[in-house]
Amino acid sequence: MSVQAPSIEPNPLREGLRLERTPPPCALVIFGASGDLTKRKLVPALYALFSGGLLAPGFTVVGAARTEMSDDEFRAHMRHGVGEFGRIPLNDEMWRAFAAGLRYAPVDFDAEDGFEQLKQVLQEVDHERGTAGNRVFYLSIPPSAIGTVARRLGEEGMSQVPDSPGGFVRLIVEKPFGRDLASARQLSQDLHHSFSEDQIYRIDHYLGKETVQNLLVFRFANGIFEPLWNRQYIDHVQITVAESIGVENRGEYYEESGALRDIVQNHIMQLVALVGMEAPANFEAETVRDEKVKLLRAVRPILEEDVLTQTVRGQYGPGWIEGEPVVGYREEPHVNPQSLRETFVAIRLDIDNWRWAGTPFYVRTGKRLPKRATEIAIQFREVPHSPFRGHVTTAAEQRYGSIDPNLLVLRIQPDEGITLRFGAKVPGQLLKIRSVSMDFLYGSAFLTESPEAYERLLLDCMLGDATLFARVDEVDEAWRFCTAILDGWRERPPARDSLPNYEAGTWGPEDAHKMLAREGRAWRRL
Amino acid sequence: MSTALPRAPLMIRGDHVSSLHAVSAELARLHQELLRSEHDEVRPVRTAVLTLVCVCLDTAAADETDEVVRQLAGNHPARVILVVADRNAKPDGIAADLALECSAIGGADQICAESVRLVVHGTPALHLTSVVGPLLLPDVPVVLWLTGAPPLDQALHGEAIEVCERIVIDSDAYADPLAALREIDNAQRMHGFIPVGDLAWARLLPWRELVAASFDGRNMAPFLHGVRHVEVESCGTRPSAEAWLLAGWLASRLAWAHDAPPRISVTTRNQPGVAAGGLLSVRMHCGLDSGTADVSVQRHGDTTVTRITTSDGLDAGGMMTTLAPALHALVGRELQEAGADVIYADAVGRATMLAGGSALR
Repeated sequence: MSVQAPSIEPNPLREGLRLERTPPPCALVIFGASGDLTKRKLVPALYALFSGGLLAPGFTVVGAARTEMSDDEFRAHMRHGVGEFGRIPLNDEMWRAFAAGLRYAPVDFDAEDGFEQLKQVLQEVDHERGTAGNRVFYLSIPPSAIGTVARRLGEEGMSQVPDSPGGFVRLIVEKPFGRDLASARQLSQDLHHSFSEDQIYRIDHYLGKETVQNLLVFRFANGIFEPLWNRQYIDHVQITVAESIGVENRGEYYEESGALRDIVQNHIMQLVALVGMEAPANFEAETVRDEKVKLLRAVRPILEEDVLTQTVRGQYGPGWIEGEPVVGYREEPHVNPQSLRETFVAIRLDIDNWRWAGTPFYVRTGKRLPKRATEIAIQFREVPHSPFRGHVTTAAEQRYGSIDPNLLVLRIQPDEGITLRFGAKVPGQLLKIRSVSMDFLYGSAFLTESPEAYERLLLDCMLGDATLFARVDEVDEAWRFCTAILDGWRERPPARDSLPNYEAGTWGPEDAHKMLAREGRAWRRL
Repeated sequence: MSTALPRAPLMIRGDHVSSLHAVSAELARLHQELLRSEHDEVRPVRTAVLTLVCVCLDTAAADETDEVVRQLAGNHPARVILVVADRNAKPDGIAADLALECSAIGGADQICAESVRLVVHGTPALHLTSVVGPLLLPDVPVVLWLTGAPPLDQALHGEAIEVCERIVIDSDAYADPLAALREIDNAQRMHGFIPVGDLAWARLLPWRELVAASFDGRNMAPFLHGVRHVEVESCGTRPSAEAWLLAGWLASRLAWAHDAPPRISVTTRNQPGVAAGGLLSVRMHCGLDSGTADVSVQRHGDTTVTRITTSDGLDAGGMMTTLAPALHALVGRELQEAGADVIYADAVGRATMLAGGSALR
C-alpha cells in the first residue's frame, strides 16, 4: 500500500485563475490505446484541456496496447480521432505542440518482460518532459483484463508513488465494475493488491455531467426545497433514463450485461443516491461519498418472492423510431434470436430511512424508447384538503377528483433544466384551475459551452479530486441491490414467448405501467 | 438537441417616447403585443438575467455596441439600456427608443428581452444614475459597460459603484492607458475595491494562465523565488495597459519588494495583424543557487507558445489558442463575474507603482 506524497506549496500566480492549480506534469498511460474510446473520447478530451491551457507544459500521453505501433503512427491515429470527434477544432500549430507529448509503447500483459518497453518510454518521458514519476494509468481494456493489468503494475513496481512533494500514481477504471456483487468484490481485491483505495478512480461519465453536479447545488445551495424534500411532502420520485437507440454494434456485450447491469447498477443508483442523500457537511470527496453510501445502504433489497411485483423486465420487438422502422432486439447483430436478455427494466425501490420511509422511488431505463431523455421527477403530495373541489373543471379533476399535484422535474439531458408545475387560476369569471409550468432552461441562463464529461473527470483525477468518482463501498452497495434482483430473476426466468414485450418506439411493456397503476400512480409522459 | 431549423429571431419595435415614465408602460405594451401576435411555432420565453447598461459616446458607437450586445443576447438575456450621453449637446432632454428582441435558442423557443436606447443631452448626462435607475430590473445584477473611452468619473465614484455588480471598461481604449489605470487605482484607494472588469485584463487571461502553468510542478516552483529579469513586450508605440498590468500582476502575486524588484523591461514593437496594445511576449529569467530557468510565452499569430528550459536539461512547451477572442466573448465573460477582482486591484496598484515617475512611453 502506498501513501500519497505531501503536496508542494501553492503557486501564487494561480490565485484568481480558473484553476487554483493545474495538475503537475504527469504521464497519462492509456492501456487499450488502440481501442475506440481512446480515439473518440479520451484523447479529444485531453486535447481540449491542452488547448484550454489547463494542462501543464510537459504533460504526456503514453498509449499502451498489444498492437505494434510507432510514436508517429499513434499520433496520426489520434490526430484523426481529434479531428473527427473533438469538441475543439484541430489547429495545426496546437496539434504539433500536443503531439510532442504523445508517445506509444507496445505492451504484452502476459509476457514476463511485457512491460519493459513501457517502463523505458516512461523513463525517457520523466527525463525529457519533467513528469517526475507522476502517473495516471487509464485502463480502457476488457473487464476480464483489468485485474491482471492492475496486478502486473504492482508487481513491476509501477504503482509506487514517487517520493517527492505532490507526487502521485493513480489508476482509472471504467465500468462495468464486475457483473455481480461477488465479481465486483473480486475486482476490488485485485485492484487493492497493487493500489490503495485513494489511488483508484472509478469513472462513471454520468457524474461528470454538469447537470448531475448541479443536482447537489440545486438541493443544498437553495433553502426552499430541502424542507420539502422528504416523505412528508413527496409522494414519490421517478427516475427515467431513456435511450432511443438500440444495442447498435454492442449486441455481444449487451447479451452479457442487459439494462440492469448496463444502466441501473451505475448511472441510476448514482442518481438515486444524489436525490436521496443527506446534506454533506462540505464538498470534500470523502464527505460527499460517505453520504451517498449511507443512502445506498438504506435501499431495501428486493426479496426473491417480490421480484416479479417490484421489477419489470422488457425486451423490444420491431417498431418505429422517429419515423424509421427498426428491428427487434432478437434480430440485432450478435444477439441470440431466442435471447431472454432485458433491454428495459423498471423497479420500485424503497429507501428505509427516516427521510424516505413510505415514499417509493420508481426507476426505469430502456433501449428503443421513443426518445432520449434522462430526468428525475419529484411528485409532491396533494393538498390535504382542496377548497376548490367541485369548482374545478380540469381533465385532472375528472381523472383524480382534484387538481394535479405539484411536480418538480430535474432534466439531465437533453435540454437540461428544471420545471416546477403548479396550479393557477384561468382568467375569467368562473373559477377554473389549470396546471402551469415554470420552466428554467439551464441553457438560457448559461449558454456557455460546457466541458465534456471526460474533460472534467480526467482533470479531476490528475488534480487528485475524487468527488465525482465512485468509491469501492458505493459500487458494493449498488451491486448488493442489483445482485438480489439478478438472483430473483434467475429463479423466475421469463417464458421464451413472453418476449419481446414492448414495441420499439413505445414507453416499455404494459407491466411497467401496471406496476404504478396498482398503486394509483402513473409514469410521466416525457 | 432539437433538429428543428433555427427560426429567424423575432423583433418588435416600440414607439419613440420622450419621457422616462413612458418607457416602462411602452415595454409592458410590447410584451402584450408579443403574446398576442400570432407567430406560428414560436414559443417566446421572457427572460432577463441582468440589466446591462452601455454608455456610448455617440450614435455611431451606440450602433456598434448594439451589434455586440445582440451577439450576447442568446447567452446572456438581459434588459439592455444603451445610453448615448452628450454633456455638451443642447437643449437638455431625454428620448428613448424601445424594442423587444428575441433570439432563437433552438426548436421553437425564443428568449425575448427588452432593449432601450436612451439619448441623453445636456445636464441630465451628468446624472446618468438617476436617468438609468428607474429602468433597472429588480433583483438581478446590473452591469455597466463603458464603451470606447468615456470619462471615468461618474462610473468610478458615487452611486454607480453601489448599484453595479460589474463596471466594464477597457483601459487600453484610452489615449493614455497608464493614466486610466491611475484613475482606477485612485478610485480604489478612495472607495475600497471597485468591481471593475477591465477588458485589457481579460485579454491577459491566457497569458496569465500560461505564465502560471509554467511554474507548476516541483521542477519549476522553486524558481518563482528567483525571478531575476522580466521582459514584457507589447504591440504599438508605447507600453500598453496590458503590458503594465502583466508586470503589476507578477509584482503583486510574487510580493516583490517595492524598493528592489527584479529588473523589469516594458518594451514595444510593431507587429502586423496584432491590435495596438496587444501583448507580444513575456520572458522571465530565473536564477537560484541550484541552476537557472528561462520561461518564455510568445505570440505566434493567434496562438501563444510557451517554452521552458532549465540548466539541468528540461525543455518543455505548451500552447494555447484564441488570444484575441471577439469583443462579445470578452464582455460576455465579464457578465458572469460579480464583485471586485482583488487580483486585478492588486495588479493595478503595483502597475502604477512600477511605472512610477517612469518616462517610459
